[in-house]
Amino acid sequence: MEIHVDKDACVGCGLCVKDCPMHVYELQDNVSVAVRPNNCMGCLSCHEICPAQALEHRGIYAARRHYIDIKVCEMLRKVI
Amino acid sequence: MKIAIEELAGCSGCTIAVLDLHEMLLDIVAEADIVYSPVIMDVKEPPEGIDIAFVTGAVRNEENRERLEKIRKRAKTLVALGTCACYGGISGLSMLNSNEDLFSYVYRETETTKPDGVIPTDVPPFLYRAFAVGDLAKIDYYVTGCPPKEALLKQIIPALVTGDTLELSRKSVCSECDRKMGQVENWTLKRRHEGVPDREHCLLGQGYLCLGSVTFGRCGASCPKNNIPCHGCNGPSLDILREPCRDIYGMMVRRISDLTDKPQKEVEKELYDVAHTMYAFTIGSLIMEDKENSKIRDLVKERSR
Repeated sequence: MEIHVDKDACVGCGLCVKDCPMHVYELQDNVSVAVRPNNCMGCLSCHEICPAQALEHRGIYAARRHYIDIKVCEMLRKVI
Repeated sequence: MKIAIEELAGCSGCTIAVLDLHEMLLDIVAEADIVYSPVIMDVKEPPEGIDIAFVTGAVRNEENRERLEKIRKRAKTLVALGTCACYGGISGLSMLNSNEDLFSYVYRETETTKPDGVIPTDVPPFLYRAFAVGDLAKIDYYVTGCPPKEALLKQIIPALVTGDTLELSRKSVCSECDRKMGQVENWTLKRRHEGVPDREHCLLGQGYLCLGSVTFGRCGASCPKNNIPCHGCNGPSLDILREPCRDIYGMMVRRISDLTDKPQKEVEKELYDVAHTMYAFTIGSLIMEDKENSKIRDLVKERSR
């Protein structure tokens, strides 16, 4: 699993460390680091909790349905 | 290249933000003509054949709706400029009162109104609710912000005019904030007048209701950096916009609860005036109202009678 943490965006709150069921993250020098990326089960709960949207998982396709509302997607694509 | 800026129910601040481009405006008018903008020039109607029209403000009355339809027909590209256009903005808060109350307040109760107490009948009638422009017309681009900050417009407007693409951050206000966020104990909600926040730590952690984590960024976190909690003027962050079960209020309660280990129900008890503190800029948006767990429907029903 490739997990990318945007170090500039991360505010060091540690919510991902606390929230991750697989203990993927640790705080190092006040920045979240994915120290055990191979443990990640791809639930993306860290994305939900991160206040700064600093996390990115490459190559994950969540099983649950992301697309719900065509109106929302229309708008989402057009936000500059 | 012809550019127009239309004004609907708003304060014209977004047009003033365009003027804040200052000398860069000269570069833009070298490439394009501004053919219509009621705030900055004396042209009564938008001409045909506009290339890029910016529309600012929400749709609150019949005239707003007609003007939106007209500019949509006459423009190749329509850009919703500012949070009122994108999400209803401050104009949307008018839905917290009935139309009768609003008219009565404006024409009878304020100190500056004429003493005759007559409510004029020759003004455009209100629609039954406020709308974001995207609720009623096809929009090509959305630029949020109340107003969109000039540093952002300095990147966006020249790119729109020349057709260039550019990479912009799509993260929340927190991603641009330099405060330290972390677990807190004995958290209680504070009103703004109840103290001066320290400059180093997260405002939310200090008890001030800062909406940075649920708000779209690119403002450089300018309010939190000046010791003022974010009040959400850029509209919701894109994760909230995207997910049907994610809502501004719900995510705020969850984040506070996670930061403080206080149960969500306890956090909810401390929050006050949710319409103005959480939804001040998004209450007029059908998209935000349609979220499964949005409080907007209840708030409007409760307050508007």
